[in-house]
Amino acid sequence: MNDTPDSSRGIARVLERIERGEVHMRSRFRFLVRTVLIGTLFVVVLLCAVFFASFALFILRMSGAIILPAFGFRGFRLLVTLTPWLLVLVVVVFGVATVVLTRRMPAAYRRPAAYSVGIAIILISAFAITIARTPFHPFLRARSLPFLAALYQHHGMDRLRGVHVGTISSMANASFVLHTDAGEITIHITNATRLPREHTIAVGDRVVVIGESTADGLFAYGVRFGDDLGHEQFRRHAPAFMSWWR
Amino acid sequence: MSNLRAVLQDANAAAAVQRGETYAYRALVERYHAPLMRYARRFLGNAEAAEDAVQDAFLRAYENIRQYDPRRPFSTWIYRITHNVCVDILRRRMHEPIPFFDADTLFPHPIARESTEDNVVRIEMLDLVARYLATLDPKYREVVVLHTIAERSYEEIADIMHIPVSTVGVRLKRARDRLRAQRAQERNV
Repeated sequence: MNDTPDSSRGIARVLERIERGEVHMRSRFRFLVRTVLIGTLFVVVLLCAVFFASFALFILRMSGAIILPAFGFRGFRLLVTLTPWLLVLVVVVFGVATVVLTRRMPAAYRRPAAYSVGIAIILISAFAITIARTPFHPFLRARSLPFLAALYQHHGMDRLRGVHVGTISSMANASFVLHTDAGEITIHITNATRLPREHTIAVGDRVVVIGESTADGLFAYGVRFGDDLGHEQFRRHAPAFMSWWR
Repeated sequence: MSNLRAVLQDANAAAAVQRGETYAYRALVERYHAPLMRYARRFLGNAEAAEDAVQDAFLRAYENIRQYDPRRPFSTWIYRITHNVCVDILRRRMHEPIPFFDADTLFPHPIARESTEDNVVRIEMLDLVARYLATLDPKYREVVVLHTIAERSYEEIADIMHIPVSTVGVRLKRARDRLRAQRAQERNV
């Protein structure tokens, strides 16, 4: 198998170079450190993907934008314009990095990349949706931590023009006053306004309103109940074992 | 020598080298030099570059031998290192286009396993490889060389090239079709 003169010369050359000390065996510790670093990098990248994905969802939920598709085409168009695309891009970058790191493992590279991508999307989405429903982001926002404070401030609700979330404080015939974080707004209801079908709105209801602002107030295109926007619903329906944060 | 016995001997030799018994490395170099030379020569299409590649692969393997897991076949590990060296040479020295990502690896394909027992197919492939291998793209050339010349299984090729097992089958089928088309074209001229 290897007794040709060429092969013998090649073998001799390799062994000579090793004997001359041109190469040295690397220590096991070096490979251990490398493995730990890659594992840590994988966890950090995955956590970043989950954090930013849950943050994007949190912004959409808290701003009311998440239920905009319920307002029809106009709501959907508004959702597209309000979606924090830069955050989505950041999530995609971390997601791709997660997949690339996963592809080093035999269980991943032996199967088509679509499987790794699919699993990464499912995992990141599942964790992000769960975290967005917990008080994790409100907790971080309240702490004013360095970097995170700027992040939460930059993606504040005031960026979402045209969408108003608040509680109805008083009602008249064709209008109501909405109490929001930014103050009180008069909402005008016209024949074209799409109101919730299931119940009539009343004082004390938490609602999401989209519409066009004028000097006289806001003329609503649509009004929807906003109970499922924040973590309130999760808080209300959380399983007993999660009572620690209630 | 049975395959299992060879695997065990490789693993024992590699474990001895890991413990510092460097003389055991000679047995591994002697066992794999000729098969790796055949693989690299066919893959690179250049004997001189192949010699450099195999030498470099053995030196890299020696440097990193403590990374090798003796529970897995040494042959796949050393072929993987040689693959990396060859790809580096193709990219840097020969400027052959080897993309970092290949769409073939993205979606699942049905595994079209050719019957290795089928002597007619095997003889035909050896003939086609001997005549037209150089006309194939590197990604097809390498799969053909590993399967036909180095007699590696689909799973081993997947581990050597870090591609899905189904992609190995697809590339082999496409490579065989292209080689046959090349032969048909030559006959028509």
